[in-house]
Amino acid sequence: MLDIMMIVLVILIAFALGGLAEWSSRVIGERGNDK
Amino acid sequence: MSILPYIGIAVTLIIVILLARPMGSYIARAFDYTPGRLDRWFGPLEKGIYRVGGVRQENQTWKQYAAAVLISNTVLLLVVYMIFRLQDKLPLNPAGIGAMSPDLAFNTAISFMTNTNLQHYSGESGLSLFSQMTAIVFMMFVSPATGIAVAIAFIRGLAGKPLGNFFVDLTRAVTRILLPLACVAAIILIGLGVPQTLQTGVTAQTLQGAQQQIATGPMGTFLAIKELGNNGGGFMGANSAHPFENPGGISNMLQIMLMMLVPVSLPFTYGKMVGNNKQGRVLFVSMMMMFIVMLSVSLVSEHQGNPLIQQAGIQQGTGSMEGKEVRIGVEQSSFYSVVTTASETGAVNTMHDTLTPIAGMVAIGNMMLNTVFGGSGVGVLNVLMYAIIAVFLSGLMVGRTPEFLGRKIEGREMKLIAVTLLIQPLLILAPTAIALMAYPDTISNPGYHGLTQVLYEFTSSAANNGSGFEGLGDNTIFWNVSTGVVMFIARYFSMITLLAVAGSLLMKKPVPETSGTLRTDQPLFGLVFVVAVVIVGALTFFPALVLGPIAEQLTL
Repeated sequence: MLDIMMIVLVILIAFALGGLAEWSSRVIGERGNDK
Repeated sequence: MSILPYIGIAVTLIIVILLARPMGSYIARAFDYTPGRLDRWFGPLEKGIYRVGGVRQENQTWKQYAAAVLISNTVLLLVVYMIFRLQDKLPLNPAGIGAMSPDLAFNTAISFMTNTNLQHYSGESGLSLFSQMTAIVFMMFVSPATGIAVAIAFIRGLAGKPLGNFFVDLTRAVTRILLPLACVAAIILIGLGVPQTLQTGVTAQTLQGAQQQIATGPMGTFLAIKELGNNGGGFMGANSAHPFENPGGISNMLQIMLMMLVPVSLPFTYGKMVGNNKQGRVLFVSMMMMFIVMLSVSLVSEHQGNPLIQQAGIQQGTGSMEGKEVRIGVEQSSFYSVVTTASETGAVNTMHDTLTPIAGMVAIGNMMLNTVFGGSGVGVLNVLMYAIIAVFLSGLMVGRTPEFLGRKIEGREMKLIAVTLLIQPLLILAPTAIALMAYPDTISNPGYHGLTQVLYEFTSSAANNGSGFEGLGDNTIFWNVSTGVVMFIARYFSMITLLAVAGSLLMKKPVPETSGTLRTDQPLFGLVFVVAVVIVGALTFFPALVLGPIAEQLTL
């Protein structure tokens, strides 16, 4: 059970950091355009 | 007072300073995508790795670069987690070491993936040979290589060039920098007496006639990348205070040089890559000045010793020997503690818990600032962030839009940098407060020293340093999970936001330099940079330091 919680926690933090990348993209005015 | 240890410190620093520039140039060449001589030597091996890994050697956008860092590191983390959990069932476990608990495996996997190497276990009794040789040593190469790769991508962005490809940079950092140097260092260390064997221990008879099991293992190869990659995790629980992991004075000097080599070279790499060597030199000199101030404060404090012992009438001619290895001495222990925290390595040859309060504050201060050279790659990343802050503040003072390397620094970049600056104190101070309130029973010292213990633990985690002040009962679910989360977020938060800053600057048109442009390759800029670091760092952390080491010193 604790194993699942630890793995889920890792994935959640990784997703949160992915969200940070999306937010940073908006801040610099890319608005979802990677080019 | 003997002058010999000070000569040893001076010689070590002179060698490091002499190596910094050529090493910095070499690193810049290693990451240059235009074909060159290095490709002839390393190309065949790298092409093989790209073929096996399916790597396409194409430039990535900042988001693709950041995604590659995050996804690859997360996958590796999960693989290593499984190795720790299953090590009792995997081969190369002659000592019959059991599986790690889930929370300890979580902490250890994050710790080694993030180049922190915080250890809530003892290496010789907590890990099998398989775990040490595959999971730990593999991460010890990959994690510093990741930091170096991101720093190189950021510098490319500042220089107005495409950011490159993460997998190519990661491979080059390993094949061209870490692996060759680690091989040479390992051979020297083994020659100096560090064991290198697959035997996990020898049985010895003590003078009292008892049988004692002495742990051994492949420590020479482990130790080389431990120091060179600014990892710091010890093969033994006692780390570099153990005579196998640090047999003598020369090995101690060599370890210090290895810890400093990459961090001191990267400012010169930056100068070469942006086509202005003077810029790199200004940043290097600024950081070296901060380093020497930190080292001097630590040495003076350690040499004065503990006033309470003095008052008791006990001579402290050799300085504060509490917690020190007698064979290493006060000066080399103090030097090591400053280098290991400045370079965010985390290896220790003395008990940091027993440093004098001011020397302990220097160690914490290095980690809080994270700009007195800093770790592999991430150090120069932080330094360049502070350089942009210095440019921005200077621009505000004279009423001009600030420019850095010919590109305007505007609100969007400063917004990302401000968030990056704020996350570090949040990751240090908030969990420190929670731990002090909710888990006081895990802290071995009451009062100011206890606060410093907790502050040190979270500062070390957030700075991806990994050294322990010790004194905490830290192998519990709370400490394993909380420090794990702090290490994970602290490592990738700044990488993502600063890659975004690089991406933003890359989109801007260069502006010509005018007479009103702040020159960033002059000594004056070095001074502004140091002032920015000190003011921001002091404003952020001074209150916490007052409650910990400063109060402790004043009440001695």
